[in-house]
Amino acid sequence: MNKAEILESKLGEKNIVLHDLSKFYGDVLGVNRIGLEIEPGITGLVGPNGAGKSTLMNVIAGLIAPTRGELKVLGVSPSQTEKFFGQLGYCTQYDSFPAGINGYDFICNTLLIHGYDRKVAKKLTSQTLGQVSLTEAAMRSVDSYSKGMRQRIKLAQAICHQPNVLILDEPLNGLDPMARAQVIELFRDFADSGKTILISSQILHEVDLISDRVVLLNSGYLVAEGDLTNIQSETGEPMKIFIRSSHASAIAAQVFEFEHVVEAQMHYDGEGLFIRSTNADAFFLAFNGLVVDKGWAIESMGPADETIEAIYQHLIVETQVAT
Amino acid sequence: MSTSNLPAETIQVPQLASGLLVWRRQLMVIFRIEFGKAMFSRRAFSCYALISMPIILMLAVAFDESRDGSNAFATIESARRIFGYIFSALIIATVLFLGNAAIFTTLFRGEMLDRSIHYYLLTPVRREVLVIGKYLAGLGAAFVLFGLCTLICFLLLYVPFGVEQFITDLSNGIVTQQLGLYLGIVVLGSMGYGAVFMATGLLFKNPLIPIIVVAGWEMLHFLLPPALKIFSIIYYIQGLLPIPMDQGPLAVIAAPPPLWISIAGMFGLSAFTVAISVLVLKRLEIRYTDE
Repeated sequence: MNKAEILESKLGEKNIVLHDLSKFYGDVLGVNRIGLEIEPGITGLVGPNGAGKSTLMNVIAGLIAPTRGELKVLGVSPSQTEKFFGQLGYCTQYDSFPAGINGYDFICNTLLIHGYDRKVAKKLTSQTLGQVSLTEAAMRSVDSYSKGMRQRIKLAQAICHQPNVLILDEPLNGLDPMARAQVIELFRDFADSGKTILISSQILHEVDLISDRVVLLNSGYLVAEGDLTNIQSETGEPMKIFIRSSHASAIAAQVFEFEHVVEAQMHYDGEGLFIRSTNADAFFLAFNGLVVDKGWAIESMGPADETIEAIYQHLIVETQVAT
Repeated sequence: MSTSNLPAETIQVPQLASGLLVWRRQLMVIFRIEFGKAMFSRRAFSCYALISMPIILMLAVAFDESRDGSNAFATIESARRIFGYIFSALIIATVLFLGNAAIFTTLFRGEMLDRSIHYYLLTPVRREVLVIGKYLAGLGAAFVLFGLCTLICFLLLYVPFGVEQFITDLSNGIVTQQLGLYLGIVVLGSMGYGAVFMATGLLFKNPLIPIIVVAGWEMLHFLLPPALKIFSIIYYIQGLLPIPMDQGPLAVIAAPPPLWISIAGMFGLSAFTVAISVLVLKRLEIRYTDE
């Protein structure tokens, strides 16, 4: 079975299940009534500061207990310490380490505490340090690491025991572009082997690039979840579609006959146009028929704003401005 | 990224063993890590400073006596008595108490202040194993530091009397009996104080106030009625002392407990307090913003 087939076979499994989960800090709301089922693959967790992303991740990772509701990771609750933490890795946002420790010992000790014997722990340590490009710096004190290196050693600590579920709180912070690309590739490999990654980031276009699905949080509430197209259609916001064709003007004149098209705007080169439709599926269906009838040549066609950023803008920023 | 940083060949991870074998491995690793921290980290400096106090005092007494001949240690009996007082007043009441406070309160609280306790809590280690591992590591470090301090001070007792006296006492069994009792007290005292201070470090954000309260309780134990004395660690220790502790004219005298009660009481107190620490750790939530 290749990686794509493995992922395909794992889809539909609900590796992280949250049921009506809330966390309050006294009177302060962390997250409220979150119901989520997260499948294998990469799920992006997006929301502004204070949305409850880190709280949710800390709850899922078993570092804090929910005030109400239920959580299971691969069918195991956090109270089953040995099973739960054996299959979960968490790269936290905390930029702190045991005093004076070097990179190698940090990872090796983690593995030894997991219960591996020394020989296996040493092999896994070398492998993991290689995966995050810290082999050469392994014997240096973590205190002397740059921000990017500290981020990578935290990541190594999260993945060293080869968990099935990986939770990453802002894992790309501080990484240079090359390290970013390498780490994203690592996440992709991890997800393609049928494992589950929940990743939060403020860098929306990166979440957009690497996520199979997104979860949007705002002020402790779940705003939307699912793949981007579904969220887009659920928002009711007109979807922006770009069509590149030499018949752009003729298309613009015709598409206004569709009742769900609310706007058409020519591209500056005259060889394309942007259309806004309140029902993307209906538009694509009707437009295909029109293209066949008229015999237009269509060079390309696709969503122009189906990005997390656009959805984020609509669901969160505009809501905040309105209120 | 250099080529030497290329990922190593992926290895097949064997199935983790379970149960006792893993707990034993985890216990040993936690012991090794925490023992190293207690002995060699910056936190250990205060303990080294503490143990140097009685050693310096004994050195001063021993060598002063040997220089001018005016006898602080006139006879070996008076020297043993003076050592007994130094052990009670300085080693137990100050070094053992404050040293254990420094070692055991930082076992968990220190890592919360460093914001690194979550690395332990994210591993599949039973909280019981984590608490016991840390406790044993603290106990090991306390025994090495305070036991060594006691041993050095005890040996310094013989400086004015020479090797012959030491060999005579050794062959008579006096050295092994007294040193055994003193070291036993160090172990039992560290067990009791250690368990209390470890729980204190978990329960209180600022353990200083509870340390002062415990210190006050221990200092005033001789004024307490017998029914309350049993809640004092010093009560169990004093029954083991080769040279009875001077409790002063105001003391409410109570017969020291028999040896087996001293030992069983200290084990019971330690087990109870360690169990409390386990319960607290199981409910612990990581919110470093509170620290």
